[in-house]
Amino acid sequence: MSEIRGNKGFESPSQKDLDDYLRQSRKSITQMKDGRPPIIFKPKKALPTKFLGIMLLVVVSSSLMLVGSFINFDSPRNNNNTDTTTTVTTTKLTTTTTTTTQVETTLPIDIEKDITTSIPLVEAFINTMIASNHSLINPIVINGTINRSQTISDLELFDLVWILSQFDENSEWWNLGRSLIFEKYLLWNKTSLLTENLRTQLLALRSMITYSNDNILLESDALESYQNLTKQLWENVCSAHDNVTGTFNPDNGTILHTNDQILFSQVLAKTAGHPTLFNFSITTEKAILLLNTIYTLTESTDGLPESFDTNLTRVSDVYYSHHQAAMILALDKFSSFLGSLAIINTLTNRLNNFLMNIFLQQDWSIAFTYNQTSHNLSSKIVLNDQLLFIRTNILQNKRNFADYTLSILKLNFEAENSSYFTSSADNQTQFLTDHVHLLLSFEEFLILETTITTYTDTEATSTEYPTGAAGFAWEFTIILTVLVFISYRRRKIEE
Amino acid sequence: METITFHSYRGGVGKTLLSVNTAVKLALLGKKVCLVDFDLRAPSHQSLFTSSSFSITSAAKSFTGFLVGNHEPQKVINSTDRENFYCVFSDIEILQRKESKIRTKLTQHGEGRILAKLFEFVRYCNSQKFDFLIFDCMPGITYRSLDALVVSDKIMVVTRPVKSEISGLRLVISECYSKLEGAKLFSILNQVEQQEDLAHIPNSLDVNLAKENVQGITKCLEESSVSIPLLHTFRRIPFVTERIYVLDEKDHPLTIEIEDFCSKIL
Repeated sequence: MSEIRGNKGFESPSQKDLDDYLRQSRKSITQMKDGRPPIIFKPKKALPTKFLGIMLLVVVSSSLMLVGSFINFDSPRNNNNTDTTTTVTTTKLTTTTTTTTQVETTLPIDIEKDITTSIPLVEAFINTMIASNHSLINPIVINGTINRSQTISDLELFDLVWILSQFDENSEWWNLGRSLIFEKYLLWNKTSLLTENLRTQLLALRSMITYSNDNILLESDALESYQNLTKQLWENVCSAHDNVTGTFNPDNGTILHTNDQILFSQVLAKTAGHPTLFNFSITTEKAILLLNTIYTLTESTDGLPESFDTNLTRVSDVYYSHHQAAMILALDKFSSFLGSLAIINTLTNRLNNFLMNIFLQQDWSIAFTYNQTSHNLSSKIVLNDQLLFIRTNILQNKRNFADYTLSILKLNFEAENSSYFTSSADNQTQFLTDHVHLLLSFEEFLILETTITTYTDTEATSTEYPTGAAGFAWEFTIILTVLVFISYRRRKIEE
Repeated sequence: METITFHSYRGGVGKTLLSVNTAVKLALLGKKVCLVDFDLRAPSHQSLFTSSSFSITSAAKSFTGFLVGNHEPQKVINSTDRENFYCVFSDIEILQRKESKIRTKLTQHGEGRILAKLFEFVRYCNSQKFDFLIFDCMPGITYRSLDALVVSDKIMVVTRPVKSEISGLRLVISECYSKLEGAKLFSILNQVEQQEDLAHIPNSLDVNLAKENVQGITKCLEESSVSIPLLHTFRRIPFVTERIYVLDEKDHPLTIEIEDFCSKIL
């Protein structure tokens, strides 16, 4: 109570703790200024000298006993047995110890719970979608109560495969994307794709390239068909791409705009890993041309955020931010194969600044209205923006922003959960992609968190100890260590 | 945006009076100012503002709550009837919880999480185009006062010319200020007896002691391993209480001194 009445518990650090705290604070501030997450620093608890002395004694004694364990007490030199052919059998004592490390962590939101809640819903949709021919109308059951119709188009499927491919390789979701493309729909057999419009071709190309290094494909008879189709798609896309302006020439009946440029950039970024299929120098050349085009279009004229999209009819900052966030994610992929080009850095910074300005001005709690009447295109865009923004921030290690955005998103999801999920609008697929995006965000966020926190970890280790005198030495050492530890803990508790 | 923290080795030196009047004066001069009551141990701004001619036009959440992650930064800033002036209040509600992990996190090391929140707030204020963010910090060396010092651009070290302050100042310089990097340190000598006032003191021993103490503080600052130039000396004004003089009494000596002080900051 004296703490509460006196200094209210505000702790004054010792000189060493103060030095440590200031040093770590400076480092943390520098990191945060660079847009990286803050450092979570644990105070160092100094061990008492007495305890260290006892531990030293234990270590020395155990070392001596370890040396002793190498001496064969039953060897002919150590006994009076003159028979040099005596064979000594050493039995091994195997013990299993379980070490549990538990460090308390405070996650800003309950990610585990959110993932647990989201996965069954996403699975319900996906299972329904892949249950039979995806182009047919299938009933959808959510939580066993809601029935409705659903059609999934090729475009939606490609988008889904692409999103799933962004999870960690060989993860459950990644594998689902692989099974969709290689087992369910056999995309390389769909030569009809070549007659589709450019948007579809771009989406198909992106999905196919994503999994083109997979063993299922490389060891299958379908490889040749796959390569032919991919090559054809690639040539179609390249021929539509204007090598002078870095933009697309719209083909018949297709309105091409920024979305296609982003798609193309994602395709280019993916092709980098496949030099056997594509000419790498052409890819690099096209990528740089594309970057130059975007660079020119993003140059602000009057100091206001300006989008590189000039063909949109729904003009709004929010809609622009959707593209800009996607572009940042694509730029990250570019940088992995083009290296640290100044243009990439400048573009990323520019786009990110635009995005930051836009998002700081938005009142998302108002914008995020999911109900039956307002679950329209604009609200979808807002959700997409938020998800992309979270992922962009995670990518750039802006933990606070990611944290903030995710918290708001989660609250809104919870608030409007039922009406969103039971919406009768034809946006079920959008719900699916949104939700998979959300899962992806959670997963990325979790990875970000684990880089600065430690989670409960239980592992079993097996150790072998020799029996006899050496075995006794080991057991003695272990018992001594345990006793010392218990006495130390008891003393700490008493204190 | 400039982040300024008013700090002192011990309490009762006039940090709150000076920081509040300075912040309000800067706002009256047309600067967009956010004043934060960061004396988490003994917050006083709320009562100070509610008893003045100020009107708080919003009911924002507590800054303490923000630091422990209960609120967003925009929810803790109070707007006032003065266009450019915003204030942030703390409360001791969390501190009154006897056994609480949040309380421990707030009052002790905090693993850098409180620092991160404070930095988030600074960044938020920056995005809101504030000209000045002013922290009225808790005295002494605690983890929380260190947080405020670390995120600041300028630190105003407030002292009084009393004997115990000299040794305290020497200690806080060697243990803390000398290890700060990036922030500019300035000292403010508060409640200094003026020559004409000393003439009225009957006991010459008191007069000599008052002079010695001022010299002691000045010497301590001069000998400091880190530069802490004396920015301003506030004279001792009898019967001064915790009030917003710059608003209520425009001809008051303190108002005049604050104006002079603000011109040095600007």
